[in-house]
Amino acid sequence: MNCENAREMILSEDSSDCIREHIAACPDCRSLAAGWAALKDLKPVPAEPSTNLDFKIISAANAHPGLMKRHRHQVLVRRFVIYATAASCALITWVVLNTIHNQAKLEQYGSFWKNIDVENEFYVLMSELDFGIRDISSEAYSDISTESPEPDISNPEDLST
Amino acid sequence: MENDHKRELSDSELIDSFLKDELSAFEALYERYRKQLYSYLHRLMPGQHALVDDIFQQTWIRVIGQLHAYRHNQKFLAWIIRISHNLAIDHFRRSKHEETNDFESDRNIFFSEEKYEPWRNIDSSELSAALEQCIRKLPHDQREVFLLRQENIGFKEIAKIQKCSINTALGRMQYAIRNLQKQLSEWNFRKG
Ligand SMILES: [Zn+2]
Repeated sequence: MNCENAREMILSEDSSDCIREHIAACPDCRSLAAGWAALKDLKPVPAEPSTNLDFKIISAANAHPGLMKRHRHQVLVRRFVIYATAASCALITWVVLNTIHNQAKLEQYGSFWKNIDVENEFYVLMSELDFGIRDISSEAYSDISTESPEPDISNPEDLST
Repeated sequence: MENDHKRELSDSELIDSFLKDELSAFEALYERYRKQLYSYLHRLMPGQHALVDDIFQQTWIRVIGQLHAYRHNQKFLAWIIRISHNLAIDHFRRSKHEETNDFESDRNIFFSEEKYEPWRNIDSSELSAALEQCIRKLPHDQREVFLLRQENIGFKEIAKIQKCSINTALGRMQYAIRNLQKQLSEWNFRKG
């Protein structure tokens, strides 16, 4: 092994037997190996970026196009949910109001029908439509008794029935 | 709970999750490397706090934009350092900084004979501080290779970052170590 090969192995921290043999025999490579061994782990206390710098970098990551796309998607979904909720509320309100209104109407009609004299109204209506029962007024009608007349005993025809 | 789960994921898994629009995956990835990259940049460009902050931020913004192009067979740290390196080079080019080219003018470091290195016995925090001062004096390319190796980045990746051959990267590393050994010996001598 020559010094060039040895240098590569020393500095790449390859510790095979052949390099050990070379180091034992070569003062230059031994010095290099000793120097690197003494210095490689000699590091100061690591410096730290400020929180402001951290913030700027994380914000930049947050604005990454992929994340932006997702944000936009989230905004669209949120907007859809808001609109859908608003539309549902409006629909429900309309249905409720309509039901109340209809019920009120029904109640109104119900009381109307309750107060009405159906039979009388029918004849009034019929008379108004002139269906040829004009003479059958309630007054005329009242004369027609549903009960059978008393038989006239002086009349022999009546007696025969 | 979710963060604990994220901590267990590999870099590649976190990147995939982020590309599927999970911000928390990016947060975990960032948390994993923020200190390491920031520290590395501070040591690479000592005393230039505003520039370090700027390059650190720009690096991550590029990372966010280019994650879809990340190839999973490479080391993530090496990849982000490469981005930082390119940004720093752009900056120095723009400001016509000479520092990036001083590597070429600094080839006069000799191979020393093995000698007694008393600095190795010094308290590690004191030695670490001295080393930081010595690293500042290294030519930029040597400093970069040395710091990258300290971050456990392989020579293949270093060659890619520095846009040079593996052999050149190895040479720079060798010079860096010799240079630091020499400077630390002098520092120790001055210290008495
Ligand atoms: Zn040798």
